[in-house]
Amino acid sequence: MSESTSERIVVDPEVSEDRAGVLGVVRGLPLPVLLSASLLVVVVLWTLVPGLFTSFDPLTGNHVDKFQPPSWEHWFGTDHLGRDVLTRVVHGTSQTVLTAGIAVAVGLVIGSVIGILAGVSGPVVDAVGMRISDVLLALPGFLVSIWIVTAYGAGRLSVGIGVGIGSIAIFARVFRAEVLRVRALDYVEAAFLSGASRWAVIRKHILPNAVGAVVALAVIDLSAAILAIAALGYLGYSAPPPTPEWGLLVAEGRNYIATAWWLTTLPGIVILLVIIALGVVSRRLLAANRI
Amino acid sequence: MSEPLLDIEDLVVTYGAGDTAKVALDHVSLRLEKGQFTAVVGESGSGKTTLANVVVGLLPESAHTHATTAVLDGHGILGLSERQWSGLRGSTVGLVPQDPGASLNPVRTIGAQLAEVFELRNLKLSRSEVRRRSIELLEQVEIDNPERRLRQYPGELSGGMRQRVLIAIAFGLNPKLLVADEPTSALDVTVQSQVLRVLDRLVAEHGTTVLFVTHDIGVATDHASRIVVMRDGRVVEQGDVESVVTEPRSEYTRTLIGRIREVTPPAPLPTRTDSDEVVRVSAITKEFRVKGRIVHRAVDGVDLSVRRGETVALVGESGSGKSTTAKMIIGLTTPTGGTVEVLGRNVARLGHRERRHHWREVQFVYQNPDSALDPRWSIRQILDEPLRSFGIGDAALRKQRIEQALGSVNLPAGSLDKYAAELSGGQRQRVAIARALVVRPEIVILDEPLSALDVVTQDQIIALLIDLQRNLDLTYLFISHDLAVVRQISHRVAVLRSGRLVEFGDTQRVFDEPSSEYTRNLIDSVPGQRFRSSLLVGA
Repeated sequence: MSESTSERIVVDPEVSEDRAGVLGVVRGLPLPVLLSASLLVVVVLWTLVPGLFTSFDPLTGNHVDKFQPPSWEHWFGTDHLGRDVLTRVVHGTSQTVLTAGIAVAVGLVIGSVIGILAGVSGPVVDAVGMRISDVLLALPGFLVSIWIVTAYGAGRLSVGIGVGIGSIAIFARVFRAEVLRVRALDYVEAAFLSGASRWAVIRKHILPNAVGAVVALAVIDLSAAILAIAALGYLGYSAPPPTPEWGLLVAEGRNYIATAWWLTTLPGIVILLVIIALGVVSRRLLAANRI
Repeated sequence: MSEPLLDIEDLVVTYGAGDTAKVALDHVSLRLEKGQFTAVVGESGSGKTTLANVVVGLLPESAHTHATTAVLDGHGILGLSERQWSGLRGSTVGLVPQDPGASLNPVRTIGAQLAEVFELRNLKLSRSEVRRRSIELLEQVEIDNPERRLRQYPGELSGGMRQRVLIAIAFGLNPKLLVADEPTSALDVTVQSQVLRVLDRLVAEHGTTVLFVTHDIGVATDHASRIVVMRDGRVVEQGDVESVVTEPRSEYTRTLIGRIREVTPPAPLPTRTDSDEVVRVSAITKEFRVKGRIVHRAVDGVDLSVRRGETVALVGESGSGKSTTAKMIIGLTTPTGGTVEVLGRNVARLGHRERRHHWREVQFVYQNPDSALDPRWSIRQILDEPLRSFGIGDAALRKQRIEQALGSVNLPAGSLDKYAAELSGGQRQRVAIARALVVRPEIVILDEPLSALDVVTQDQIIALLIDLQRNLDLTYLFISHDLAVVRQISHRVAVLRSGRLVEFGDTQRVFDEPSSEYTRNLIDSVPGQRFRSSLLVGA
């Protein structure tokens, strides 16, 4: 029997993209995604090697140079102690971004475990898991983080856990919904009929097809966590003053906003841009996963 | 020749722009004379719906149109504004949409939606007059108890009735041209024939010109006076219905027409001893608890048997319990009552280990190949999974078995490293069949394996299934609602209706002299009756 013309091969653009190598992928991306991705790369570098980007000291400044407006030497100007603001933003990245990373990890790991168990088990485990997530959803997240930071100190770990608890329920819900969606598809049933064990079907079919939405959610959640940590820092629930932290920078600048606008504005813009970039990239990830 | 109502010449429609632009219609010309019933026939992707959307002005904004002429009742129809279109729609052109479920507003009563018709015509009628005319409209489309229907919501009506309400709305505005886009493809055949009978009568009474879009050549030849066959955005051929049916000029049309030609079913297998019965279903019932205490009986006392090497078709309309029966035979659902015996084993009593053994012998092919294959797995992995899970052979033997299975469904070896998304619908269904065959089962249950495919691909898969059965001595349980296909492939037919078995016998006998009224009705509702006799003479 010959294949007629109606059986032409449909090449999925997504799949061919995977094969074309990194350069091909980069060339195919729209400009906003490219800009956002490069900004995120810069942020990662700030976190890992802040020393490469500035030669100033983030903690001590020169009194003579205080309240300098932005210039070629000090791109973001200087603060009330004469410290370079850009340097403090760059060095503050690790504090903010790593803490946000811990927060997302807490939400992702615990939420995924609850969500997967609820999705693949019977109705009893499902009900228990979902009631736990209901309880977590009912707690006001920001208050919980303030409570944990007050009780356990403003270390990176306690801030991270405090912020992360708020997102456990969302991760659990999304993962459960995705698992239930995939579980109802014919290929999962076909795998059972092909003799695969329950665990093999979960591991090889359900999880890989359900995880896409969760990864995209993690990226969105990272931006929410950065915002929450900056907000905590602004209110003073973070590392004590000389340590640079994005929220703290904005808070410190608040006292001088009438005379030195750059102290709050420029770190604020950095926070804003990073969050927008995370949003753009996560939306692209969602689209690539066809969700 | 009279002035045409619709005249389109050299119409080109493209979606998108630049490199990703897709040509949906490629130099299509169409003329509709007043009072003609024209059917546009084509498979999905042929551009038939795009053509209908051009005529009613419902193209999405991403579409670019170009034509030398495009005139509807004296108005140019390209580049009209939304306001100009609303002047035309209703009075000049009306639409009967495809999906009756989604096309009525679920939170307004039927009466309120019919009343809009008179508002649109600016008739300024009194409330009782609107009510009287609404009832008249419902009577026209043969809806019983119209006074009560006016107070009901769309969700309380059946699909066929909703479609008739939509037809009533379209005719309430009395358009000169009625565009019907697959108006019955969501309905069962018996309901479809009732709805189309109503449509035919109204068209004759009002003298309406009709542009009827369908994928089913049988429906087209039964009702239309002119036929336009489309494929890949081009008109393959057009002409009056007799000449298209009796002397199709293109190979493609000939394949389509082949569908309504009467075929002789395969002769029943010589009756052998009882031990040849590989599937024995006796008095099975399946009940589902709907709300609280209400119990819905999906399958009600069905007896069936399938002999080795034969094809038994399980036929019925949606909700007849045919899929539930299949799921009970393969052991994914346990029957509430009765027993299912496959190859001498009671399926409901299988332990874990025996159940896996059962699945080596009974395999399943799904309706929709898109969801039956894991999108993240290559074809090789998909075919390898059953072999690995059942622990069949070593790596070398498995490789050989995979290649054999792929060859038996006529797919090139090169497809092994592809992903499902890179294959066409027909190729995907072949992979699904190969996956079922790779463990060398004795029985294959096919759940509507053709309904997601176009006619040409359907013919290829049918030929493949018949071939495989002959070479591998397979037994098929073939679930379908399409009687034309059933007649081609099955030795015996079982007809189900709301969970009960109404008929079970040799295919030829069931089609020629059905013993129940319901089966007779089902067979008579199959589209394509009008030219069946003349085709027999020609064949």
